[in-house]
Amino acid sequence: MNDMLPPPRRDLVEHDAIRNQLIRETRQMPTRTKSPRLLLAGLAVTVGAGAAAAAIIVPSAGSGGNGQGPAIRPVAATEVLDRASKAAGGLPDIKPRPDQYLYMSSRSRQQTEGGGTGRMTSRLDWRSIDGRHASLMSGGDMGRDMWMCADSRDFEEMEAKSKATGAGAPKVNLARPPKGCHDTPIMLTGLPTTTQGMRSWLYKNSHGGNPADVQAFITLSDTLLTRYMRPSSLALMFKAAATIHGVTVTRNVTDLAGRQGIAVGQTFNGRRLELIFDTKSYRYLGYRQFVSQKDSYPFPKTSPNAAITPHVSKEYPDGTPLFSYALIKVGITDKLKQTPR
Amino acid sequence: MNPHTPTDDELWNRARDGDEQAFGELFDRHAHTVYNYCFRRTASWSEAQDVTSVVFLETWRQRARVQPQSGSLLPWLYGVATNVLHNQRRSMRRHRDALSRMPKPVLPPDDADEVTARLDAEQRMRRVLDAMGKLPRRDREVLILSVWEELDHHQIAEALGIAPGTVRSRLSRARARLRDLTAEPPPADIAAAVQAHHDAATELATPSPTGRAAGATSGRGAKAPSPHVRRPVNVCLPEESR
Repeated sequence: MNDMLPPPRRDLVEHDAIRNQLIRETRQMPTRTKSPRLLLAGLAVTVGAGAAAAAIIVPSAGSGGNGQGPAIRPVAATEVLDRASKAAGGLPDIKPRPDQYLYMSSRSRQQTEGGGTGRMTSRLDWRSIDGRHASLMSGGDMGRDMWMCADSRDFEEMEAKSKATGAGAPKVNLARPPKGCHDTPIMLTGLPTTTQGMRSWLYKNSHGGNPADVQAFITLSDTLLTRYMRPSSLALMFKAAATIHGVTVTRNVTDLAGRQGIAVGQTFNGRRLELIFDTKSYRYLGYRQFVSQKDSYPFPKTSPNAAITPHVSKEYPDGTPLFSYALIKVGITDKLKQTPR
Repeated sequence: MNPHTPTDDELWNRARDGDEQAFGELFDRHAHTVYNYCFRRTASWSEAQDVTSVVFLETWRQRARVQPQSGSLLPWLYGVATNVLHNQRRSMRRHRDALSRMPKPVLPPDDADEVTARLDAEQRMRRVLDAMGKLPRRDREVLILSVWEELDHHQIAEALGIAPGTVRSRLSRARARLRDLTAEPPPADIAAAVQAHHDAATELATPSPTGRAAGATSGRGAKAPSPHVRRPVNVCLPEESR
């Protein structure tokens, strides 16, 4: 009767190959949530807020709730980015005129050399949509108004005159903005229309010696910081970000404006770069960098001479902030110094 | 487990947060057990391999719901495996595309011994399953998890999403049915194994003064068995709680 016992256990054939393929499969598999209500609620907030705000794309500070963030379920980075993508897709599709300005209100804090938390600065930007009009920056590190106008003979003359008088940057006179600017249009157009295409765009437009996945994530955060794109493109960009290796979640994040968020990011070479999303609506709130010594993924080794982001000294403990940026409000205005509704 | 070895809980949280290596480590930990459980339910190594893949895919698909209760992911994996085996066609259909991309099991052609051993194992397992097949599915599932997989009542309860009391009653019923269904006494090894579990179950199920099971209190097993212990387990068990 001994043969009535189950036979001895045996090893799984192709264990490692199955393991690796399973990991690949998990990257593209949607989750089955216990209840779709949470997701629907998030979307409803996004769409509702978008409809009410009209020209205001990102909520103002303090919209994170009553100070006690909701209990965040652990969710994979792909899921966070998927929700962020849906939230972005639900934003109002504003088509600004070339002569209008993108208004951005933001806060940032830079880690100072030798430690300390750094000083938080608030900044307002009015960026020319077509790049042909002078853009204006108010506040920021300089603490005053400044023109932004590239490749303009008019502006170069203004700078030369100002320098001659020892005044530094030209004083801003709204009645006399510099002319003939050739800035990069703030509106980023011509983007791919598929997730795969957007992923390729991120990798193709990445320059630097970091591992390709790290560089692509840096390109993503830089693009979000410096350019404005249509909701459909933003949605695709987050979708594409979900395919980048080594992106993990940080829960219970509070951004510079005190908003509750959930972050996704990568850790490489001693620093972690994260994008922060609103806990409830999954709208993009900003980004941050802090010290973290454990890579979030076994990124391929870089060559010794590669121009990688400098390693952060181990004298700083994990969690030491390096740079934080909070986008408070975005909108379109007709004029400089105008605040959107 | 040394102090630096992450628990299943920690690995699972990291995996859900996007740490692929953590998911891989959980696979390394439990794939062998899941694979052999699936084999013991199917008597086919290739089927067991597919089901194992589906168990991990399905666990990932349901990741928002998965939270190991006992600190180990294994009961959950057993539960998913049991459901997948029960709804095998549907589960396979759901993950058909992923399965088509999974590596196919190919044994080294020169390893004739391994090939033979696996064929023999399949034939032997089929005979065992035929004997077990006389039991109702639910009872059979509990019996296999208890006797072959050596899960305790609480782990089985977690795996199958039933109350520990239900586990006890199904186990005792399975034992009784196995005895009744076989013309001759149950196969000696199964009977012996069932009897061992029956003893343990009886001990756990010795009625408290209120008539309810005393539960799996630690240290009870060390006590000398009471006169009740040798009575048929189903006499001592409380009512099925579900």
